[in-house]
Amino acid sequence: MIEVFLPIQRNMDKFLVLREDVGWNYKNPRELYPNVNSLLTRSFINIDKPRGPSSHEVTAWVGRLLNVKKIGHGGTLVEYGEIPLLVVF
Amino acid sequence: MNTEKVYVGIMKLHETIDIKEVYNIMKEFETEIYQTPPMKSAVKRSIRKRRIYSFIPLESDSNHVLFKAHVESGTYIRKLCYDVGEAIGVGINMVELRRIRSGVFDESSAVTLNQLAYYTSIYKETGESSELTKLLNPIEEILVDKPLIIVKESAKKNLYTGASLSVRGVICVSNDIKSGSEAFVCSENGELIEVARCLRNAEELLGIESGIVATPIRVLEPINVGAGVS
Repeated sequence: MIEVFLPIQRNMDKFLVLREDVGWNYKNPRELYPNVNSLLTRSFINIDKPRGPSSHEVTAWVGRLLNVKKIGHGGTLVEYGEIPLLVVF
Repeated sequence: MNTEKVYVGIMKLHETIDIKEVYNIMKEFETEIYQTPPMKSAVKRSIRKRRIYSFIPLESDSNHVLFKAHVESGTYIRKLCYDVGEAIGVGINMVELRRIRSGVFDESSAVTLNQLAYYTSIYKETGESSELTKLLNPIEEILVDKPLIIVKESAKKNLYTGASLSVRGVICVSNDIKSGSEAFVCSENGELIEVARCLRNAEELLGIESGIVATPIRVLEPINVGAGVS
């Protein structure tokens, strides 16, 4: 039997299965990461961005803080306001 | 990311009027509306439809209304407030805005830069990483509502080196897989491998024995114990 561990809870009715004999489980994705170093290159941080700096500046700052070169961000740019900002790396 | 957003904001009325009028008009906006992006926008300035799921006053004084708005992605809140004013006949401008939710990202789980710096310094100085780890969310957690392709563990190595995905490596797919659109490819142990471009619709996959199902768009780094914070 193939045992599939989904990293998120999903409704299995919405899946099409190509093989027979498949069993489903949910596994907390944190279990895939043995330590913080392995997580640093494959995670996102939900950042409460302060008003002053731009998203770009904040992302660069986070990259320097965590010594991570490949880092990016997503989330709408609003002229002002504190907004949850997604930083992905 | 075309996820719904929730905002809290303040709109300022240029004249003092019966606040009930504002509340009533806000309720009428809880529908599909039309908006043109403002001058300062990154998108094409053509009129577009957006859904307002809810638009609720929380508090008010003589000429301010604190509101909460749950809207479709790409809705301009400033324009929404302005249009409320247009509907009433009184000038209204948005003066404060804070987004409190974007898809799965919520204010309650948002981290300030101070917190991040603090827990990072604890890790750098003492090697204690448990608090810093809590602030980092595995990328797999964004897969909640995304089209998924689950593949055999044996397909992982080739995918990580940029190979296209053959149907023989596929265990199952979510039924929203569409030819031409993107899907997230995970191995059977839950690890996200790549974002890929689908070449088939979900239903087609049931009937075929061989062939390419998806080509890579962006391949992740495999999980390993590598260099991170020094």
